[in-house]
Amino acid sequence: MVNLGYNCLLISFVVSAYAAVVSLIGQITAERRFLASGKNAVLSVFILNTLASAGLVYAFLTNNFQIEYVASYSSRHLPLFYKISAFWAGQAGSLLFWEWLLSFFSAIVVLTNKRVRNDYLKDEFIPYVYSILMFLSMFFLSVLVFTSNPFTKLSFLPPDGRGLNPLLRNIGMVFHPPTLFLGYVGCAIPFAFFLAILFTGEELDDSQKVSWFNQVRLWTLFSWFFLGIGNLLGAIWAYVELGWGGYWAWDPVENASFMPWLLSTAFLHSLMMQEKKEMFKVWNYVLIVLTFIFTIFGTFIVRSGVLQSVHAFAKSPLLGAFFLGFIILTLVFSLLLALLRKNLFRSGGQIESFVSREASFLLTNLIFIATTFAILWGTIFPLITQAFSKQQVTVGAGFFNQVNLPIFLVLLLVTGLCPLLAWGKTSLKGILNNFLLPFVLALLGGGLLFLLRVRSLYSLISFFLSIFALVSIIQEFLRAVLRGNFLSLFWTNRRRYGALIIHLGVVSLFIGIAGSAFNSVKEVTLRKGESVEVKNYTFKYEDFARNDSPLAHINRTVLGVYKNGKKISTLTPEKNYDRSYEQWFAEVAVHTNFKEDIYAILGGADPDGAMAGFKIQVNPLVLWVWLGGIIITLGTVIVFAWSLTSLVISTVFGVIISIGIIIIIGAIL
Amino acid sequence: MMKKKKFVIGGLIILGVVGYLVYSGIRDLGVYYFTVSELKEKKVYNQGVRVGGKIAPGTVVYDAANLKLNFGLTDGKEEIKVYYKGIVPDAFKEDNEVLVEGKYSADGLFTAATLLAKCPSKYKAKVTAP
Repeated sequence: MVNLGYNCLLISFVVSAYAAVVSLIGQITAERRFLASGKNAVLSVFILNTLASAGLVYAFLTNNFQIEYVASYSSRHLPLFYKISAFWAGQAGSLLFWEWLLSFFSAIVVLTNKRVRNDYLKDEFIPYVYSILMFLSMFFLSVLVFTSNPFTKLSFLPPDGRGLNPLLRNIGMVFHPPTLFLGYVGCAIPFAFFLAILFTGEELDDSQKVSWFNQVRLWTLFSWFFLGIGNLLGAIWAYVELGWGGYWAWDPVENASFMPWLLSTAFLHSLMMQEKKEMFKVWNYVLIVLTFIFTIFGTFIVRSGVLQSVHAFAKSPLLGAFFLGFIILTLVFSLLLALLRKNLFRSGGQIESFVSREASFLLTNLIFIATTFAILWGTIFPLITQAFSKQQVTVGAGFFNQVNLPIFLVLLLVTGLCPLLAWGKTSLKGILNNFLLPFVLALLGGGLLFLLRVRSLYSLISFFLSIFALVSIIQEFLRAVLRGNFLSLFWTNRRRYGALIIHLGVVSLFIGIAGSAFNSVKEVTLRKGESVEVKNYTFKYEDFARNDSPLAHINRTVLGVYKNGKKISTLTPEKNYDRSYEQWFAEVAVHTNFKEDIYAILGGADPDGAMAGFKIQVNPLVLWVWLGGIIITLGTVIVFAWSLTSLVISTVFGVIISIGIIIIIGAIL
Repeated sequence: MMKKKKFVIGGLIILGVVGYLVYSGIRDLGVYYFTVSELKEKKVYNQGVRVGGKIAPGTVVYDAANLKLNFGLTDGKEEIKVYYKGIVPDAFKEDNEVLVEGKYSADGLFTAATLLAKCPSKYKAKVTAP
């Protein structure tokens, strides 16, 4: 099986190369046999990669510790569940998973473009898409074969593997990496579609254009959704497992996965402008090239070790060099191609008014790009300063919060504003009609908060804008209901209403994030029986239990939570020691509701538990962040539904993801 | 054309504002990064800095109940003493890499306000021959 896996990768590389070249030649020479062969080769690459991946899964399931990768991430007594997710616990497996997804998506593109054509079309773009995707596949396969082979064998056979790191033994580990990868790899598809029309060098005819747009839109939506949800699942995982009291730390690795999301959000919006108005063509091209490059860039900074990150994955300078070379190549190639095909970028129209959907999209786009570069600048600032002054200057979470907060507030404003502005030009009457009520209610809400003695300017503005956005979106739904026949109206305009729901989710997310400004944190040492007050709760250290097993020893404390003298909850934070990993791992305890989370971490205790150190937090509104994720999922399902069948399919996926989020949160309650 | 010009101006304003936010953020919150050797050699005392290195084996003293941590931070050549009060991250473990932010004083003690441990060395255990 082991040799099979590696050999499959080698053959897959050759077949990818064949598919890339034969599709290209077939289209240029109008040779239909070549084109058919190219399609089959793309499907073969998928089958070969699937065999290779199955080989690795098989090795995990059969405890084949001869393979270094299996020995490093698995062990005999590891539950089945984690044996499978250990597939993507390390670098080589992650890359194999990435390549497998790429070939899977390529196969889907083949299968969804089966239109039979009798005559050869000069402006057919699909063969170019295959060619580009297979060039990308060659890159990942060469990385797998040359630098990160998951099938590398040890010179000896260890009796047991080292098992999965205790911090990775969390349900978040099962969901977070694959979800993010779906997003990363998905971005390659619209990228290939954009390059492909430049390859053709012709304006597409109308039916071609429709097919092109539909595919680009759906793939972009797909990857945008998974990039976002992948980040959110990572945040939940950090919050419940890593035990430092928060869910986002602006670490370079987090930034690296956040930036493609920001860019693809901008792209998703301005793509609509191209679809409806033939505008923003250059802009969209730049955005998709950047989005794609940023999905690779993340892997580059993580693996190459050029930046100091908390997520220290295995460092591999060779792999870093591969990725850097690939990024530069992609940039140069995309740029040259665009220069060569300047004629295809003619704009079909221009913006008529400042107060229009078009103008607000442009504004939103600019803000997204500006944020991305602010985050990029902060992330690579140590490198820049080192290059110029030989002394690294770094910035931490404080910098990113300070810079991004005002930008996000503007984004929150446009979240509520944009969808309600008309295309072309919005009249003053239209503005009053749509925004008077939200504005008045937001003002009232903000005023109320002011009377309740909230004096922080940012909080007041956040609250004001949240109400504004919330009311303007809900008002839009109410109007549709009042017009009668809501369901059919909803179904006809599902893209619009789905998008409004997504915006609602974003507002919920923002409310949750804004709440973190009011976290109460206390680090205390308590004797058994002693209490401490945090915010308006009393925490009493009530009990301690110690439990030793050959695998781990467990220190479990019991904290009673009281409010106004009444017991409302019991928290049991643990600090445990994994013997095989010789490492401590905390089990956080959380009590959550829509108002706030009560969150306790055990720092450590005396051997008999007479004294213990705790970090206790009251974090307002955290649940709204996760709720936002679920609402966004719901909205995406609706937007994704181009037919009833797809509605059913995407609903199933949406439900699974929502349940996933709920389980992960539920696992800690 | 007038409109186009206005949009360009609008775009420049946005870029300018974000540029200023970034500039002022770095001015206020940027900290120097040093390795242990550089910190010792340049004698950077009583100034907020970030230092990276490995936890020297055998130096960790953690009073868990009182959340007081003392350890030696090394870059393989030089070593400094670090004091930190608070919850120690899970990945904090001898020979692992950590980042500390805080101030170094002339008496040779580094008082850390934040302690970031790199997620478990490669998330991976070393396999050794039996």
